[in-house]
Amino acid sequence: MAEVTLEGLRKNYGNVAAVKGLDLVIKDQEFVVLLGPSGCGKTTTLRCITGLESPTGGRILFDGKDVTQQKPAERNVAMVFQFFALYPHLKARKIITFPLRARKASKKHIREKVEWVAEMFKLHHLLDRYVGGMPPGDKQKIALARAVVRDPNVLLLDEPLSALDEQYREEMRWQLGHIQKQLKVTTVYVTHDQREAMSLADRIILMRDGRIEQQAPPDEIYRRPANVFAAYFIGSPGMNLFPVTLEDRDLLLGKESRRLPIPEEIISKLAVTERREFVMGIRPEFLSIAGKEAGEGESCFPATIFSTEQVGNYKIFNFRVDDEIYHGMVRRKGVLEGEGMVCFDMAQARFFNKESGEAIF
Amino acid sequence: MEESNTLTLKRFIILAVIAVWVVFAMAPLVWLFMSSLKTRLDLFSMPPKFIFKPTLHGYEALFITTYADGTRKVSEIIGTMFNSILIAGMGTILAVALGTMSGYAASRFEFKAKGDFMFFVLSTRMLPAVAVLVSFHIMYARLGLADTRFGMILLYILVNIGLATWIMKGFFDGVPRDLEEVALVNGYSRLWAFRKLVLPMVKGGIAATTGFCFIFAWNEFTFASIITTTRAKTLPVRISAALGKEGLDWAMVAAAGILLIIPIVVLFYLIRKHLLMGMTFGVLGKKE
Repeated sequence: MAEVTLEGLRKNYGNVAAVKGLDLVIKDQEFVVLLGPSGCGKTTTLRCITGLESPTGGRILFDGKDVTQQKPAERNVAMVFQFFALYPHLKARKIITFPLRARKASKKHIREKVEWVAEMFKLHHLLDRYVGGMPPGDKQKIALARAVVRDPNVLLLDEPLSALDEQYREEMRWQLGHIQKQLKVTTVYVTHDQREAMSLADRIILMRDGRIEQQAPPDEIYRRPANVFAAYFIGSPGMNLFPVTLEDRDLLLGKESRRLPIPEEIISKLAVTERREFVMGIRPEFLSIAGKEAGEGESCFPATIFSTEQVGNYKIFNFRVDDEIYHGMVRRKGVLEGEGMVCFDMAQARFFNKESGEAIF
Repeated sequence: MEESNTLTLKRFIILAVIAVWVVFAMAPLVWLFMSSLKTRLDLFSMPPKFIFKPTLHGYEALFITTYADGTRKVSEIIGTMFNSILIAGMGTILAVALGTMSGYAASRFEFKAKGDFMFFVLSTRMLPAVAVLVSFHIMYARLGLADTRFGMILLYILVNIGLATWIMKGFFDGVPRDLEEVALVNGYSRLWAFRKLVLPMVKGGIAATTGFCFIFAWNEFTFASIITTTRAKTLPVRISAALGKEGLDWAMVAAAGILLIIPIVVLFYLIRKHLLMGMTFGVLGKKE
């Protein structure tokens, strides 16, 4: 168990900077998810923590001790790989005891540990089988068992569920979260799937282009994205981002300047910034459809809904403002396509600086 | 019914093509073998004889030298053969061993000017032997390596190592890195991972590389003909010399040809199991 600190971590590959000065403290026993689009530097960061890559600059500390120059083996970290990295010609038992045998553990200790980990992952029936022909789900269980069998300081997972079927992924995700809490091991998990991040993380580290965009617990990052990138990346579909203009205490939407009635207090808050143009963000679930007529005091504007899709109990409806497509999510039956009023729950709206993309409130 | 007919037809065509190809490839070898067993008379008879009384005269002439006074001694070709096996064998083994290691490094590690280095490695193979022959001759003479087996082994390592490095790099590129990284993270050394995990996975590649390198070293004539004179003389040089010295005893020449082929056949028989896998893996395995 350890606290992991990254100080100004940098990694270049030739002329390409993959990680551009990362400062991050991962608390002991915390489950942290590095989330971001491909090429954002999340996997590189993970590999630097593991010791498989040596950083170009900056330091890595475990419990305050500098491990930057240490080999992976010296750091007592465990890693789970995307494609399991199992040896098909070995039986599961051999694979799980692989790290223990490296340490020349006693036979008795090995037996106890295998028993313990087999119980935890419910894989007794797999122990004496070759992993070659096993389904991906079982393979990943064995890869996880191999990772945790020797009580690592830090557990590192590189997109561990992405090679699994949708159905199995959900189950493993749940199991993974459960086991992490049981083991109380500091965990760093890399994924580009924001649903995985939302459901597993104590804290999400959202990365883009080698830098951290926002770090916050899932709920907060969802409700209060720090910038337009976070707003759009998190959520499926992501937050709607409307260009808006403040004019004489009116909010105008898009190039066509559709007037959107909004509460006085929001107007006041926006006016304080002494800016005129903003980006207004609002999640699809805070949009609704009000038929032809909107009620007094509601923030609605007329729009044409050109398509819908059913997602479980919900219906996602799509409409255009200028040439951009926006999404709303409602729990309603029947035909939604056609002319209508789209209404906003303005209490849930978030405003961003148009130039920097940073959140204002 | 129709489908099975087209299938048989397809099979038939494939077999026919293979058969033609086999005849085309094997005919010279069969001819060579028959010639090595013929008397001078049979050799030149027209039309060629396919049924004749075989004689080992050619092989006898190859292995036993008869002097003017009638004494017979084992020919120095035995020594030459030993030279060839030693030089080509050691040259191949060392080139493959070193090429395997450098290929691994080229596949796994980044270092300064890697692209340039790899091109340089490859360029050693592009250079025609004749272009550097004179410099090698002078260098070897000065260093006392001329006409030594050690010098020849060194030379064949040099010539083959570039090819071996490149072929092996391709094979290592096809081995997922995760497998060794798991070992590294779990407390094993890089060397251990290389030996126990990676090497067994590129066995086919090593076999194929060995095959290529050995054929080259075994057949090499240009360098050997200039650098070796007596002590380190190799078979190809010796056989070509025989052509001039003793007139044209074609049966003996054919016997020498057979002798030259045998080690290659033996080697490929030994590695045949890995070979097909190795040759396809280098092409298909790259995708992963």
